[in-house]
Amino acid sequence: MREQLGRLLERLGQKEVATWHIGGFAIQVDPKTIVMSGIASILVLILALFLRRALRQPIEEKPNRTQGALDIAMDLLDSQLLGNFSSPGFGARMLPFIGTLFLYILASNWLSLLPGLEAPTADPNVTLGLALMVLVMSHYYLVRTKGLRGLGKEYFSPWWLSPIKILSEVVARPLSHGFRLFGNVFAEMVLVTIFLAKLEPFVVPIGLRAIFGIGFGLIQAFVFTILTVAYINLAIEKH
Amino acid sequence: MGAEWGKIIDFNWTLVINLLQFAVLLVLLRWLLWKPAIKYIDKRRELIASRMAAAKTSEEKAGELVVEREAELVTAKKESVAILEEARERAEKSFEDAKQRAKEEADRILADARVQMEHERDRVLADLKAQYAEMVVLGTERVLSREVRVEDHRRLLDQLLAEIDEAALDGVKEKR
Repeated sequence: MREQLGRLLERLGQKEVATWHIGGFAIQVDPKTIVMSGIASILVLILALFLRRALRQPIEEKPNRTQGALDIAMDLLDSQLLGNFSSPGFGARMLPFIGTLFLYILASNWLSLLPGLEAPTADPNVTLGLALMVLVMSHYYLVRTKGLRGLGKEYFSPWWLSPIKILSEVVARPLSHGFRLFGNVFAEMVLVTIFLAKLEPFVVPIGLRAIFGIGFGLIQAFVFTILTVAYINLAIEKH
Repeated sequence: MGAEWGKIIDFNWTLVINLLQFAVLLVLLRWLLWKPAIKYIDKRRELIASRMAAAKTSEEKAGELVVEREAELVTAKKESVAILEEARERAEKSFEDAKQRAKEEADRILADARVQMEHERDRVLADLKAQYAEMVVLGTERVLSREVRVEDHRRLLDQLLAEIDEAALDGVKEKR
């Protein structure tokens, strides 16, 4: 067990990268991250199917437990995340995206609680990809709300601040957004591994993982999602 | 395909593949969960809103009914007070009428009694007169049994008349 942990610590955070050669191009991927991300997605889909089944009951009847839980979850989603959008109508339109993002990150973070599985969010490719997607989406909504003129105004008014604005909004923001999640999940993974290595004879490993993992995963998913809401809201908000 | 250990931060095509995977998940969840969930939540909110509205309407109706009942109660109270007042007035009027009738009856009885008394007095007077006449006759007999002078005769007659008047007056006083 100690040897296994030692190997873990030696290779901690390093990814096994596979290279595919397709038509002269070398495509490097991390199959483990893709598989873990796929498992997280499947878990979210299973949850969706379960909830969908519960929604079939006629609306007039007393809500069953799942419907009650869904009511509470939707209320929480609405009040804690979507309620931060400046327009309630826009918040309702963003529900599928924000909800999916939250569930996906939550499932990804909680995946490391299951033995033999790893959190895909411990890979910067996943977190930075999501952050870049948020960047693209916020600019898409900016153009839709304020037009190209609004986009120009955002970056070139006043013109002498434009380099700093471009740097902060297009480069620094997605990097900080993506790396924040990656850094936290990775740090949690390192911390738990070291704790397990050091305290393994005294502490039940699964209990420790659960204590660290459940609350931690939930907080990280919430923070990433609320930052997404804030960035999109900043883009559509009228100054 | 070959596999090797990469760095901790190593950007590669995993980013793109993962994004595609997320896009697929987004589409599937939109269809599987969010659409029915939004529909369900909207319907539930509508149902709750309609039930709240119905409850509010019922509450308003109940409030109106309470006001109506209170108004009816006030009217009934007023009516009962009016009825009591009317009854009291009627009773007072009846009492006054009875009192008046009794007074009239008493007056009538009194008047009848007076009339009867007067008749009685007249009768007594007539009796007395008859007695006087008789006494006059007796007196005359007495007078005639003696020597009668004109002066004596006159004095005796005056005396007799004075006695008669006195006796008559005493008789009337006694009757009264």
